[in-house]
Amino acid sequence: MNVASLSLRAFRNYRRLDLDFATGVHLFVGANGQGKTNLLEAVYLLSAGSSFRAMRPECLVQHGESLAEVTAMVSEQGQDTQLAFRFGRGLRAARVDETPCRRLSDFVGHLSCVIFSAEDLALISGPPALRRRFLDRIIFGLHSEYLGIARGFSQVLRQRNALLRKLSTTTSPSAESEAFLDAWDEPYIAAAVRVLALRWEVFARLADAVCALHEQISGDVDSLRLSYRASAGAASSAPTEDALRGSLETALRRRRAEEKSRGATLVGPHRDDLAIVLAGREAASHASRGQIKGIVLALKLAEMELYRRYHDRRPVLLVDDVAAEFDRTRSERLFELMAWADQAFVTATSDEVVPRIGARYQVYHVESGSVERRA
Amino acid sequence: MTIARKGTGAFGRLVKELKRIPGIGTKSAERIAFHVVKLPDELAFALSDAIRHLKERVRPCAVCGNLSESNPCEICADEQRRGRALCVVEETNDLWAIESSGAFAGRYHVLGGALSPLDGVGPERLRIGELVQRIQEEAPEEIIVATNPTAEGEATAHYLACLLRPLGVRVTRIARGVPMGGDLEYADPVTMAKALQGRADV
Ligand SMILES: [Zn+2]
Repeated sequence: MNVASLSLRAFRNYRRLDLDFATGVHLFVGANGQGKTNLLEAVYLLSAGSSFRAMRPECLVQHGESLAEVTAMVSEQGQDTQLAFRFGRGLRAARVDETPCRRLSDFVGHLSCVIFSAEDLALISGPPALRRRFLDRIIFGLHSEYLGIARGFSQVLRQRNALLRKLSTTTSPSAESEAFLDAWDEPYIAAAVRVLALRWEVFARLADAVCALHEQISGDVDSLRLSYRASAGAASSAPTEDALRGSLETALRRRRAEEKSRGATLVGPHRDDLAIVLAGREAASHASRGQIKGIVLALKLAEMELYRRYHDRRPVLLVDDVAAEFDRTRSERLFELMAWADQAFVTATSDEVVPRIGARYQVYHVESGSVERRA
Repeated sequence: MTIARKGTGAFGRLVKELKRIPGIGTKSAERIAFHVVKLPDELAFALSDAIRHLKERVRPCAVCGNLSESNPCEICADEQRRGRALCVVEETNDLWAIESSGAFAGRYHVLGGALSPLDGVGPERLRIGELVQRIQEEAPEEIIVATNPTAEGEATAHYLACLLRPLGVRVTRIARGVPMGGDLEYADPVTMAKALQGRADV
């Protein structure tokens, strides 16, 4: 999959920009604040309908303008699709091949992107919720039924939590409160097992791909190990649905009193985490920033690899500030891996990162809202 | 034109009343109100009469909770249906969906909702006490729990199963012919009949 052309109107610091792209690596070089990242943001916007920098689309409109538009022609196996996203205060209009989309969900998914930016480093050192979201987002992309499954789980979780909250504040007879909770345990466990079955399946494939890719990036110096840390307790590497059910039942029984006094569900997919261990030590507390960047990169590339395996589709790779905190060897390896996507958009503060390897790439110089292609 | 000034006078009053109906927002309510304004008098009055009639005549059946103009309702009054299975549903429209499948010949019990801690609905807010009493009086051969296949419906089914089993009655749950997260109301008669046939003990 690749972006064949991109047009920006009143987007961030671009009044008007029209670019055509071949496949391969496109490297945007320029000093900070010149608008390199805005280009990646525009591509990402067409893929997700939102900014990866956690900003509302109306904040992306050029100062003094009321409306911005980002359009692109996306090519996938010889088929072209035109995506257009127009937005401003109180307006968001998305079109696919000139047909207006009634819901955002009709728009997202036509362009698949995997983004790698400084924000992603929190994936290792940040709270577990970020790692769960990372895994869940991959599963949404691979299994269309997961969205319904995840929503079903969150509904039954909210109900069970509401009941626990009530039980924690009232002094109802304990036999009665036990019966109330029993009634919710069964649908809760059933919904949790549905989530966990897909989590484990995708996690196992992700972990394999991550370790292999990390070896390629780091050059086999540090061994990376990923494991799924289940709040219901340790499980084998590929638990059956019966095993998942069994460990949830046991853990819920063991922690019931605690749940009742704390007024919240303490066991389930919403409390799980991914453990990331580098050379035998927890990466969050022991890895250097460069090492963390290498791990995150492996995670992102593994995400791409899963898309390819499941859907025979290669997402467009977006890499923001490629060289920062990377040594020369790692940067070069990264460029090798990038060549393996159909297309990659990369930013850097200097073209020193351009490797001497054979990847097909095009360099652009970016300066205060203008983009110039270098020969 | 003063009547169309939003939120005021007779027009605004009808809009306000219509908006109390679930699924009717301001726009729809205004559209209906405009339609009523344009109706010939006799049709508009027929509508208001129909609403008044409905409220005066249709009441929940004192036995099963079904909405009916007679009390007990036609189903409870039917001696042929006595002593057979008792089908427990959340709402009257679920009862109607099962009736229209023609696959059930017993009586019903309408709970008036499903357990939902988020909405403050505990067992005491449902017609569960009445159900226990009926089981003791009517001695049905089986209780078929046909609550919706939602989290709330499943929790209600489990609560009932635990509560009713000690009474010595067979408790079954309809099969998952109905799509998960779906609503019985929208199941077609064939799916509904299959769900009833495929029920299992709980
Ligand atoms: Zn009745």
